[in-house]
Amino acid sequence: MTEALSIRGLRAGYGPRTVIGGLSISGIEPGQIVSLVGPNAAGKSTLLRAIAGLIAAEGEVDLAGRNLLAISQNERSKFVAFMPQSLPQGANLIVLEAVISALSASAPAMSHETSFGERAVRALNRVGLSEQTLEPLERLSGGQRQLVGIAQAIVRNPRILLLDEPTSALDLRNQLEIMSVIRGLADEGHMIVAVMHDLALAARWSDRTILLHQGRIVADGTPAETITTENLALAYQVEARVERCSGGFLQVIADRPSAHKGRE
Amino acid sequence: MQMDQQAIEQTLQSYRDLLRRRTAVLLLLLLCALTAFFIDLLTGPSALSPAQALRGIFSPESLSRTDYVILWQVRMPAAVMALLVGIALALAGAEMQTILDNPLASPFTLGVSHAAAFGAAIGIVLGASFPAVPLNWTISVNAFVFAFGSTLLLQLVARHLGASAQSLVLFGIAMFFTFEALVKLMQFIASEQALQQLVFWTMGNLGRADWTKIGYLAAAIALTAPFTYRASWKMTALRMGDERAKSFGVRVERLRLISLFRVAIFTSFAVAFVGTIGFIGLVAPHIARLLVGEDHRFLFPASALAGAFLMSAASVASKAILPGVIIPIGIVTALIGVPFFMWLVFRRRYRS
Repeated sequence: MTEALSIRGLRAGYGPRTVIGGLSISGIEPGQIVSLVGPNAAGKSTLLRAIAGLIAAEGEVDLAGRNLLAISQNERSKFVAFMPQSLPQGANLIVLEAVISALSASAPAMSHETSFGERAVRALNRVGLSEQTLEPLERLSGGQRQLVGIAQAIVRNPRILLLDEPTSALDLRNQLEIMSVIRGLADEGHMIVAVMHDLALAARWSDRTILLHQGRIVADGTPAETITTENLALAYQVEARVERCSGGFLQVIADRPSAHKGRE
Repeated sequence: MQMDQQAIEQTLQSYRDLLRRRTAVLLLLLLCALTAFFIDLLTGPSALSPAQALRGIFSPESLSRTDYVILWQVRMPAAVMALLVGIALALAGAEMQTILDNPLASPFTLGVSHAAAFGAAIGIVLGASFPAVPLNWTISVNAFVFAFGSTLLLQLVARHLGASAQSLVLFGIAMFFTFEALVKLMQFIASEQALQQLVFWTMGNLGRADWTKIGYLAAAIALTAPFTYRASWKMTALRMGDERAKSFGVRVERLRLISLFRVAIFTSFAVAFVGTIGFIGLVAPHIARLLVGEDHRFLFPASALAGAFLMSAASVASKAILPGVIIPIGIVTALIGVPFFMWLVFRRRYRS
């Protein structure tokens, strides 16, 4: 309990535009996967970026008594890792270099790099890429590129992993592989907050689901508590059925746009 | 799943082998550059044998008076200047391509060289100069100030408009056309004599080299390049996107601003003394990237060496194409650069 991550009165946006105005999330604990869901422009990615310190934010992001918003980017990167949606094309690097750079980019210039190499190899092994360590990034599949991103995120061994749509644009097999790696990392004691688009996937893999709409929290609880017909109507303006499939997991079927237009 | 120590050690050993191969490539590039430099010393209207040249380099007093003048006062300054200009422009290009995330970025394509040309033009055509600048330095100082100023302008845009790499590139292109138009305006109002001088300046010329200018350029490189090298890992991280680099703890905006400052120093010292030289800053980093990849610990030195080699080779070609005539080097680099550039573009097409 001492290590929980709490967010209090978080305000964030881009320039003069406020996207999130005063949002609080109670203790996210080690071992938990928290999924952020909601319609486009609900503020999911903004929230993630604010916690990561990538955009200006006010309020408190508290990790065991330390306000992460009040420390430097370099200091913060020891506690929090952020994984953007996808690795850009065109970087002429090998996999190992991409992961070493996550360590050495902020290290004092030309510091002892041998240990970095070893840590990077271990991180790649952890995500199941030990065969691809010396391959060029360009030769990897979409799923493997995403795994490189996860290796970059975990190589510093941060407490908190923030993942922006880790499974977007991946096929079923790759989604499954990425999510099992993420589950494993949670089981090792990481706190994981992931923006997810696919509600069924969020329901299947997360311990807690937070539904956002217009920068506010609509619902926060177990996937079954959050993903309900009423909440979906409110946030997405759709009439949807939420059903349990044979494995006991939730399935969402959107039937039609709902008549009422939510709260504008 | 736990990997044993031996397997890790094996992987790291293969990585070290790869780094060793890249180091070998750097040495090979160095050898190419030095060879081109030596051939550059041998090329010219009056014959100088390799043996004479070698002897002359290590014991200048053994040469005849004429040979001494040819080697040490005519060819050596131009040849050394070629190496240094190649290094400076290539490093500027490599930094720009990374921080602007654009393979077409270079001091030339983003208007810095044209800004220098405009500075030179107002010196040549209007006789305008900065106070307390000796007469024979007017043009160099003007070119320097405008090149430096134009890069600072890019920096200002980055700082105050919170500009992304893409809008910086667009601004650079706007600058390219603006300064080009201004240079043409100067040409239009110039006297016949000034026009000739200006056109000659914009073609780039190593003949203007002397030891003082070489000293300035060498000092600028020696003081700036170490900082370029120190930023290597940050630059490598930046290749994977702004946000990712930030999450690694890199202060991306600051990195971009400081890098543009280094670009300003490299470019303005280089073009101030030799005039407009295109394509080296664009092409040398591409060659380096093909040879050693984008680990910037290798990309930066490889770019510098490729730039030095290309400039020396261009200098040889500028003397060898028409016997007795030295073609302005800016023309030669463009002529070599264009086909190479097209090849790069089309190679990319095929792959995607």
